[in-house]
Amino acid sequence: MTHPDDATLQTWHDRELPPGDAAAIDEHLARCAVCGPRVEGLRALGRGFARWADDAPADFDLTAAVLAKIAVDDVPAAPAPVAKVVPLDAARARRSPGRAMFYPAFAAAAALVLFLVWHNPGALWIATAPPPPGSAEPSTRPVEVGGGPGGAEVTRVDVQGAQSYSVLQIQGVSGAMTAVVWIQDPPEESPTPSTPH
Amino acid sequence: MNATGDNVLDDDASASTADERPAAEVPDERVNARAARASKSADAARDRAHDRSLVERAAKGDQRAFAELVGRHQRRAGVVAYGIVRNAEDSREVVQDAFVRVWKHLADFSGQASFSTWLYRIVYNLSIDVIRRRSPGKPVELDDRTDLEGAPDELLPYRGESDPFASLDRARLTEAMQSALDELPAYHRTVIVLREVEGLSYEEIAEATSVPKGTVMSRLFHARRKMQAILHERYGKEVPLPKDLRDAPEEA
Repeated sequence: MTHPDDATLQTWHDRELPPGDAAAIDEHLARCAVCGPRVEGLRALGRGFARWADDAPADFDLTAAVLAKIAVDDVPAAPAPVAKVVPLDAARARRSPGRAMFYPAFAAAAALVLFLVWHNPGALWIATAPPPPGSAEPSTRPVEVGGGPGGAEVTRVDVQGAQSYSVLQIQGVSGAMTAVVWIQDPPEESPTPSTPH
Repeated sequence: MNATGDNVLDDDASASTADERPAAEVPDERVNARAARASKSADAARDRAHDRSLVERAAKGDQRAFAELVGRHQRRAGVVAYGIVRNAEDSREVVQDAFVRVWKHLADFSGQASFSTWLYRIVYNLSIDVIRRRSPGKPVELDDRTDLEGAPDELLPYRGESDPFASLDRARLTEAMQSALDELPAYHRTVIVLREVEGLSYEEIAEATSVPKGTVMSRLFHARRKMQAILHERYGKEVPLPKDLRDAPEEA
């Protein structure tokens, strides 16, 4: 009788063998007095670990402590990556050939925004609005800009870095477009843009 | 506690070895074990789906969802951390820091792996940091070059009539297991705790520890052999484990 080697027996014990191989080991173990004790050695160790884990000093409740630490550190939850906003310098550094095809669309959208702003100065506050004091949450409230052909709707403004850049979704004549407007701030008013993880 | 993963099921389904019972009983036992495993697998799938839902809500800033995630996983993460750092206070700190890190990086959770595997990966990395801080300048044993001297060449069989640990009272058993764990290098402790206590698959352990699956299998094998040898050496009189394979008959 050929007995399975230790590695195979361990893999069987851990239920990591393919079904056909596992069935063969099942059959072997059902009639082998040598391999049964080998498996029982593994099972005994598992039982020892079960009891060790039950007695491990891990019955703490950290919920309050974790939430308090998050509040103290003022750590915002990383928002879901719906529209990741990155400074243009970083975006340029991450250019890939696949993205290049969208550059003409971005350029056209930016040109449209500039056109709207040029012909409707009242819209300028949208792109340069300073963040509310103490605000850590990005504003997602749609803001109508209005004016100009097609109009423009700001669907997401990163208030933490709004003085540096904004992401705009525009309903233009050719449909929905996304534009990133980068505005160079004066050095003394330039906050460090914070980006989500 | 469910922390033992499949081993609990294994023990329940086969309290004695198959060759100790009439052959007719074996098929029923296998059927029952398979049914129990299927049920357990369905429960695990539901748990994973619920975790994903909580992560999605937490990523939108829902702190109640995040608090539920913490509540669901803190003890198991604590056991894993304790198994690696071997200190209650340090393991508590590791788990707390791990959940803060989870909160910061919720958006990075892809959902391809289970939340617990992702959490254990963070716990593992933070635990290694703790060990490094304890002994600055002393490298943490994270590779497989550690001397395996003292480990037997093969898995050790048990041929007793009853549970080999039955003769130890609970406190003594915990001490024996902890003492044996202490002897293992960090990377062996990690794989054996993730497998034996949390029931992670080889693939999940590989993901949590950033090593190939083959390395996980090898580490687990050596870790088990060393644990068996240490337990036998220190508690052999109390734990009749193991009886040498060479004493066993070659065939049934």
